[in-house]
Amino acid sequence: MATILELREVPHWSYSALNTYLNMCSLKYAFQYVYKTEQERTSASLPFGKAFHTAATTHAKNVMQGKRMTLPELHEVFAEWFKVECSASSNLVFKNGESINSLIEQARFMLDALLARWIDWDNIVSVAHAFKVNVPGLNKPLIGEYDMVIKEGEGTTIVDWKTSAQRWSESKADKDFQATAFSFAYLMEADHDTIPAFRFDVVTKTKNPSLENHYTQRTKDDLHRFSLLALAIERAVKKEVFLPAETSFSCRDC
Amino acid sequence: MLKLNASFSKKVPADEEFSSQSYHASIEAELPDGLTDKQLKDKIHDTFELVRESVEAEIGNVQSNGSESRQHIRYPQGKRSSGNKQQDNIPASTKQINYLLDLARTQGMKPGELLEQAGVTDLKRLTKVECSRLIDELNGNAKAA
Repeated sequence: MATILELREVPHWSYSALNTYLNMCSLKYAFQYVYKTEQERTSASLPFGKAFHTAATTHAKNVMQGKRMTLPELHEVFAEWFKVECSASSNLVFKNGESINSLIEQARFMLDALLARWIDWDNIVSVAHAFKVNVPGLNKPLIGEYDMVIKEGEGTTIVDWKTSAQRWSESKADKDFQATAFSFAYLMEADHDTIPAFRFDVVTKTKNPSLENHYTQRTKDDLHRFSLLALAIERAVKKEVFLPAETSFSCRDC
Repeated sequence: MLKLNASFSKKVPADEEFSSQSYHASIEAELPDGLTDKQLKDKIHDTFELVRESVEAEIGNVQSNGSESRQHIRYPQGKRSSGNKQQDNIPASTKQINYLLDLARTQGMKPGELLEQAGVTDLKRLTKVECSRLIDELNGNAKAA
């Protein structure tokens, strides 16, 4: 099976690129994917999220092999990756009062919440599962990586780990573009004929971190709409329609 | 009909101080039509590898006939030279380092292992050439696995 890095070697679309164009800012998309400009600054939340993700992936892979990681082991994975990711980032910026050490300490509580509320002990199908599918009409394939695929009853659920500064609202998962893109990809993969369920495992970056499972389900109409949106984005990019989203939530980190 | 040109040149220190010896090879190959992106990329990679290895082997032969075989020279870790001093000083780009980190992560390496292999305590100290070599090494590991 190809890794996500191998899939990235040929021209492609990713959920992240589509989402940046559609929901963040089309000009940010142009800077990142067309002009490939170096970022002026990197928010510390980016290496934090990557390191947390690496720790969760390591834990899930161990669970698949019947092993259980302890909190100190998991925290060490996080700390090592976070430090190296921070040192590799350009112009790293922290929010008020945060530092590398304070974020490493914060992660300990978050990983504790992840371990305490972990429910997938014997139903993991795959971890870091890369995919590449064709979207009818698009010139480039859609690629991505499911964090984890699990079996729940007779059905399949795609799981995505998120860290968030605050708790998610009830409706956030139902509107999330990633769940739609990944559900579409899963259905398009060979030998799949049902739309999977999608679960966001959100660990809050709060004083008392918690892990919440947010389930959502897409319909065929949602997936059809996704493919039309992807086509519209590709057409707009080809015509170089790049405009700043003046009030985008992502402006502070761009 | 697609044509592929691959060339590789390398300068190595010559016997006299402050002088260098250049080695260059190029190859032109015709590629069949109808290749997929992946096949085309593989052909380019293989052809380039062939030219590069040929140049390296030639340098090795010349040097083993003279003094020490180039292929057996061990550079201090993290200080490997490309033979081109100007190029050696260009720091690795953020994109290169991020790719290296992603590659290490995909292969289940620990950051400490990566830094040890790189011979540095901070990846930002790597030059473009060193980072590129490390990427090649890790890619080689992935292919061998």
